[in-house]
Amino acid sequence: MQQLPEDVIEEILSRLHVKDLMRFKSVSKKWNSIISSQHLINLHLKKSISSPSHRRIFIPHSKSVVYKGLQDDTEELPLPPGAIAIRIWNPATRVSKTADLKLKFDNFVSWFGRESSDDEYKLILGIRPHGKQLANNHTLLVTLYVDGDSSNFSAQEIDLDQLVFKPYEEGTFFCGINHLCGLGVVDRCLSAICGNCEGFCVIYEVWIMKEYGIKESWTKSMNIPHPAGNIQYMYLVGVSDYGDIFFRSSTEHVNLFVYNVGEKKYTATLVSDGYFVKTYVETLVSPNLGKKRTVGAT
Amino acid sequence: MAAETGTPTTLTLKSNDDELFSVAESAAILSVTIRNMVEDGCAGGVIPLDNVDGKTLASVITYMNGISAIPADEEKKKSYRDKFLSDKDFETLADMVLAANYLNMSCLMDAVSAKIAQVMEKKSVGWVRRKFGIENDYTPEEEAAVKEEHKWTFEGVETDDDN
Repeated sequence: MQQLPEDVIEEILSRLHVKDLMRFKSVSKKWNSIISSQHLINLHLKKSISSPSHRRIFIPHSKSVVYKGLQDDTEELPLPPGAIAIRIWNPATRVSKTADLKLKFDNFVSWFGRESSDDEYKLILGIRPHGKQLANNHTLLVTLYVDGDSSNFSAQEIDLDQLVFKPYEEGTFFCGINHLCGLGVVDRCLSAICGNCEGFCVIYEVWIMKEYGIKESWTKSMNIPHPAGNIQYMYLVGVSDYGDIFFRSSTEHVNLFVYNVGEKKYTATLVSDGYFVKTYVETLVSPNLGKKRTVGAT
Repeated sequence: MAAETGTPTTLTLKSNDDELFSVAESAAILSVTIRNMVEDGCAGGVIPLDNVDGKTLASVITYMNGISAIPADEEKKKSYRDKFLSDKDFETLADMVLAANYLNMSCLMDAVSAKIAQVMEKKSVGWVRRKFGIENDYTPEEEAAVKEEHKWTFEGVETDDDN
């Protein structure tokens, strides 16, 4: 047969699952270089975002399928060595990187994503830093840019000052909301789910940042009721393409809840290690990628 | 001349092995390449398609006629495409993707690329080399190293009978 030209090969490869792509690096040097190229990584991400079959859910230590179309291969979750360090991990490629934030905080929720307008990868944290007075349990939303290549991004070399650190002004978004339960992506916008306590009744509010980085663009998109039963606070796990929102609860017997927006109904599943359950889009993006910023001379 | 009598409703396409095909212009212009030729006024005679053989062109024309007979209904078009590609073997799909690329037919290109990607799922490295006609240019040591690096991706791969 005739050889397929490179742009046709790329068109085909950009639709494959990550596991197949990683294996096909062994086909030839040419294929390895195509699959490793930034061009293909971006092309593949673009296709993955709009493909329901490339949305997955990571459930550690679970071989059973708990959700249609999203089942995952699993392996041990690589945990960061210290409480202050965070680990950025791509479950599709199984590549991870540790970043030492050198910042003391608790109660953080995080989301890793790409901002399409500037092609940068960002880690967004909702944290309560120690030693900083925040009114009413308010949470700071912090953006960390994911920088540098594997050779110069390591726990020892990264200093907070060297990361771009952009706290959103407290009180603007979280006014009246006392519990940030999760960050995620809804309709391709950064979104936050907050528990709002009114007496004994907890309502979850879904907020969407319509324009990334512009705090005035936060818009409340819907309320979600608390599920019946003796369930404590619910934390956002992710959102599917099928109109489902995943929560985990912080109760002792960890449960995974799936809330269908259309039907306004919960279904619950029991999973082990629910703390680490997360939905994600299958991508080749490496935690070691990103525009290289100057990491200060030491 | 075509330009004087109005746009012809039927075009004649010629494959690179000199087979002639008649096709309705309304269906043929799904190909941007053909549409451009029509707009440039080259459609009066025979349109030579130097990169497509007769067997593939016959198949592409079946697709053109089939898909353009479906009114604007994306669901129905999708199910037609799925059915159209369901019985095609890899070699035919490869010829079709080349033809779709040359003819600049984005809907066929998308559908065939997706179908090939689907066929490649869980396939072995050897299968890909054979089907795509790729020569392994790794040294045995290099190949062992790159396989070792991505060892987990070799779990659950279909076994090759003919390797």
